[in-house]
Amino acid sequence: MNHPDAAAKYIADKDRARWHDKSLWFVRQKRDKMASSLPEWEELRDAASKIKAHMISNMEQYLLEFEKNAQANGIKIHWAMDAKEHNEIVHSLLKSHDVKKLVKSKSMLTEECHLNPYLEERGIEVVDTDLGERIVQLREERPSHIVMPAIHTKREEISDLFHEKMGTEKGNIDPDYLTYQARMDLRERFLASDAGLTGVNFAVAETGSIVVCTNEGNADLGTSLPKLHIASMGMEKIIPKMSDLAIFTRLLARSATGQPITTYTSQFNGPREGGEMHVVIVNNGRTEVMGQPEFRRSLSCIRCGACMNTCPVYRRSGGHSYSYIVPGPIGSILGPSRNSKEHSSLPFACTLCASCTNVCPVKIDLHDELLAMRKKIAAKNELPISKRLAMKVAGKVFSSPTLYKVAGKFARKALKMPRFMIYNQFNDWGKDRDLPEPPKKSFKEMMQERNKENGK
Amino acid sequence: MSSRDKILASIRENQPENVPAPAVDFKKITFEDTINEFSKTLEAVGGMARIVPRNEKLENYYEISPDAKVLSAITEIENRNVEPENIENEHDMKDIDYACFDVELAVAENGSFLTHCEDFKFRSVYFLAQHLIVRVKKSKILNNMHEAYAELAKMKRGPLTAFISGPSKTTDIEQCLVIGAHGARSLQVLIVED
Repeated sequence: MNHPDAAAKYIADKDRARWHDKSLWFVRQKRDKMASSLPEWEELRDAASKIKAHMISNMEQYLLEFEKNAQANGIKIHWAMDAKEHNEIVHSLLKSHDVKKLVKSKSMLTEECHLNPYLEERGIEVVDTDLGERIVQLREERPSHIVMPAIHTKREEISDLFHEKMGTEKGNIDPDYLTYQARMDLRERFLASDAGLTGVNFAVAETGSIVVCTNEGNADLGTSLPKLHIASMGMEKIIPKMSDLAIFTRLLARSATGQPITTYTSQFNGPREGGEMHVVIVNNGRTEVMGQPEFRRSLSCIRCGACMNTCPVYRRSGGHSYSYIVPGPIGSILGPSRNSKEHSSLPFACTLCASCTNVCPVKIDLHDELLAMRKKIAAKNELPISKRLAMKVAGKVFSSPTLYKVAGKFARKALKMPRFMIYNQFNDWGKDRDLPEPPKKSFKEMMQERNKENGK
Repeated sequence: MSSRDKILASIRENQPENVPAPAVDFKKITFEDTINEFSKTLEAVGGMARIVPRNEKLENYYEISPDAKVLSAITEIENRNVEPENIENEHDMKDIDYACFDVELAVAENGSFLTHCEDFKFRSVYFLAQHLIVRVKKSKILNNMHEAYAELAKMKRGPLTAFISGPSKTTDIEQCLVIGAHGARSLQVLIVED
């Protein structure tokens, strides 16, 4: 479904849309408070952005360095060209270890690869252990936000869900109670698991280590109880040196949730005694993005979600209105750069206000990329018919001075018509907002009068 | 051609020209009183800091509920009642109420401490124990993460090195902060003289 249609469904419940907007804005404010508490904030962003650009331009060298050092630490490295190969590798590892139950911590890459259904079809029980992910898993939904997967759900809904699935008290909506019940339930699942799968926030070439950041401690439990640890890694997660981690760990949580650092910043340097550790390095279209200069910087993303929290369109339309698994500004680049036809409406779910660019901790030029993506989609003739016609008409009007003058006059008159003739079902621009008071004269007329007065 | 070779070839084909790595030489935040800043930040992330003056007994500065099962690598914690030798595997750690250990260093800007997770034979206890009590030397409280990683670079690292900032937490239910997600439900940091 395209974004406007999906969003229309979402905002039909006005109270919920308003509540969602407020929740996300609250997170944005927490981020601002943290960012302004560091005098070197802008220098950190600048350094992060440059390290990522350096990494992208030397990715082959750093991936090979990572592979060599990780192998020396006893980590087994696998390479997957696409989602299918990633899923096959994970499955074969699980199968060869006779794994029946897998615990997972948050990984957007496995969402991108649709790993869960793939494994479930093959008889493996998959438990998402991040509380937000667990909620959406039990609701049989996808995450609506990359950091706060269940930000769209209300506590009453979670209470009902837990009552049905875990037998919690009916009607108890206390977050402390609900979290505690989930803790107890998931603890048993951790203890019963045969393998743990994590994502990768950063992979350090210099040391052959991976870093996983969580607030709940679920990645650490999932890799300390079962013997087998598999980490799914997008290839752009590589960074050159361990000292670079100082920059990224300072930026990540401050940008994401307004915390000074995530509760757990866990650096896995190798398998634990008697255990096995595997890292699957995944391409899945990333090198294609790399080859397009105008979208290349999107590969710098550290998945903090700050661009979503600030986006006026995301806040009001909710994550499920976006057709790609990563919603919001960054997802509206990542999605169409993989499949521009399927996600053609996403770059237009944007006011080009550039707030996302202003908060991005790695300084991705998000709004510029969104604009470039619109051009690409138009050039490929993948715009919806309504936009194509509108653009054609606009093109005609703007290229003819006479037509433009007439259209301007008409518009200034039209806006003075009685309310019911302007604010009705045919005018999308009049929904939930008042159109501006029309000026009496056009800019050209005003300039002409001014020049006359000045005697020119 | 293996997937590895295919991916590497594809990178070579699409990789832009070299962009040099930046110099990270800007001024990083420092504090007049790192101990005070650390304590303040730790409290803000849900933990508790106690300064233990020289010649004072440690036991006056931490709280352990009676009947608790206590596993401690700090010998001065006299409440310890679980013998590490009696633990046979990671799963046995699930009943531990308190895990107590010394940490390498702590960071004032974010209230975290660094541990190599090697005080006990099994590492799950760092994340399964209901409560944590850790001890850090005053001189090991650093200003920021740049200093922390510079120190970490000099250390021998085991399989898991973790920065832990406060007890585990989640805001996944309507943005309400709940302390005690999967890991520890409380954290006490004892700051001692060198």
